[in-house]
Amino acid sequence: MYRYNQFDTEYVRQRVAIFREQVARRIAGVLTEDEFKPLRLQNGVYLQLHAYMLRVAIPYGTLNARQMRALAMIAECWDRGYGHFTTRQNIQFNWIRLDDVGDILEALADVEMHAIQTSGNCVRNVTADHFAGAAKDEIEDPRMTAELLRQYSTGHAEFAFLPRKFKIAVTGAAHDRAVTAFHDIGINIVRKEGVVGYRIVIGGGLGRTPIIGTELVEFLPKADLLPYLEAVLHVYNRYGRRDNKYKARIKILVQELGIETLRAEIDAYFTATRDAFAGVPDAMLGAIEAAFQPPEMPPEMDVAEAYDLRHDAALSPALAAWMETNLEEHRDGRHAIVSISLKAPGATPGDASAEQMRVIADLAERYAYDEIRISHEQNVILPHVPKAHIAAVFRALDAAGLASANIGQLSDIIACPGMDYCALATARSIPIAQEIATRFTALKMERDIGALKIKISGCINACGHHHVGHIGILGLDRAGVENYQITLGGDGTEDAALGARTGPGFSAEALIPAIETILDTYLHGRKNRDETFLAFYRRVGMAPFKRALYPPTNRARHESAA
Amino acid sequence: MSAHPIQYVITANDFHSGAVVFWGGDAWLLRLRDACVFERAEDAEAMLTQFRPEQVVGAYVIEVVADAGQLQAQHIREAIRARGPSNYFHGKQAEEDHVSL
Repeated sequence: MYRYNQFDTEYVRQRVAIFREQVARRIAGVLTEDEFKPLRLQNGVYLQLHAYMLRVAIPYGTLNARQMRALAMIAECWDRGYGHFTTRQNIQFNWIRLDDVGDILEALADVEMHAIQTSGNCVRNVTADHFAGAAKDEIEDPRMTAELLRQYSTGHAEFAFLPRKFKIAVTGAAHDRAVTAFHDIGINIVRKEGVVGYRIVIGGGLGRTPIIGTELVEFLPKADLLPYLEAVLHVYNRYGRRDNKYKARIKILVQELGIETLRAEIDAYFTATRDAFAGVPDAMLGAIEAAFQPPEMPPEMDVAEAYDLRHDAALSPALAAWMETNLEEHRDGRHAIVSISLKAPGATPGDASAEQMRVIADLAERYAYDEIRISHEQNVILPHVPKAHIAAVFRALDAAGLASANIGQLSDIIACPGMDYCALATARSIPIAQEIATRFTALKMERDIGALKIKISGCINACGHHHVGHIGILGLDRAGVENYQITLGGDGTEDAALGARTGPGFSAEALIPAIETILDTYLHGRKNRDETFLAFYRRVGMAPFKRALYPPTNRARHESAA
Repeated sequence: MSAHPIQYVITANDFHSGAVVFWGGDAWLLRLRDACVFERAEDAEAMLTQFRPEQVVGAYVIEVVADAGQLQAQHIREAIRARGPSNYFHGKQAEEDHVSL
């Protein structure tokens, strides 16, 4: 994995020292909260409902065991023994004291981590496919591109005060696991006539104005990536709206200017500045590429070529069930990709205790070449596990309460922190996720339902990605009471689609029965078990769901509540 | 909706810990039940200008009702702030009498 060079190390240490001083000045009363707020936000420190919250970047979701142990230590020393992995592959600590932030950032710097640009109107943590480097359908490891962009965009003076935040996601695979169509910039690594380059998508996003990104460039040569993205950011910085923060994201600029005009502006700037970048990406990429070589497989691995996981499966039904959902084919036949679910039914999606973090770190070190990934779906991945060690990994996970066999299924729910923690939230989302997972797993419906993505946001900002959930749930405030809108048919993959609203929202009490109605409509209507929920929805549309959710006798009541 | 009359309380976050605090009349306190209750919103609003900025962050007025002698926040957001998150039993609800700021 990428290791900090001297520049990175010094830069991060300096930032820690600067922020320590800013905190000290705030505590001494020299800085007012209004003066201090933008400074703390630039260092990932938010003030939430119950405490300060620190958001730590996990670049493109990649960690090693030492880093995971440092996160565990931070959770224990300065938080309440756990951390929350987010939909942007970051981790958030919910119970931080302002006085401790300097020490925490120092502890992060010790393991080459930081909280820089995890907030504010700048280029945020660049996210990537969580199966990067292991996926069978991958053209190239997207983390090389993501790391190049991290280095380029960190502390970039011109782009420190963009009109609004700017999110970039990269995938190197045909199947889009990185939700690239819903980012300010989505980068797809593609191959054209044998040459690897980039397809650039612009202006996607969720939030209050959900939009599927538009193709900006069909094929961009690799060497042009930095000058081209600089042109995009420059044009956005210049023309993006600053009069209204709800219209300040680049997606609005794309809509207002039109893609053709915007492309012409970007191309003009790109053409004028491209030469200044000559040679730079090659030199930077060379060093970065070396850091993302696949792990060296030990020679004894050669004998594991023929290892047959079916033998393990036959010995334990629990292991067999887990392998069915939580293993993915690896590009190397001797290995498998292991997804560790942080979605035990009834637990808080994305939360891991310090002890669980240490178990994962130990497993990564012992069995998985010291590589860990965090997914935007709030799970943890061991990307390279020799098949011969799968059963041992499962047993260790099981002992730590980490062996939920539910990846991609009903209880593998994305949920933002919601009103239990977040100062922006309008309703709770975690208890809804807990209730859905507990109720439907108790009914043993999960396996029968199969592939299903439920995503829950506690406000219109959509951190829980509800627009791209097969079933999306959005929590709103109706006169001080939580109310939940349901959307159906969303999809964050290469077949990107925005969910459509079923109709009027539901109270917290009526929501679970409504979800049950939706699931029953699917189970009774599907052609067979192979027709997934999403395929069923695409075939039949909203009408049967609407009929079931809003029968005529209830319709008047719902409408009066809306 | 409650039949009890709406009253007013001032809340904020402690500047060091971020903890939810309530104005108790002469100090910031951790428990809603210890809060100074205002009968009129304008009296509470007028009080907001009196606080020293280094003590707390973002002071504002919330609505409460006294139900059987217990102060309860009207809005669910404020009820969660007063009690702690609902996904775990921690925060104020778990720290009844030994909280330090």
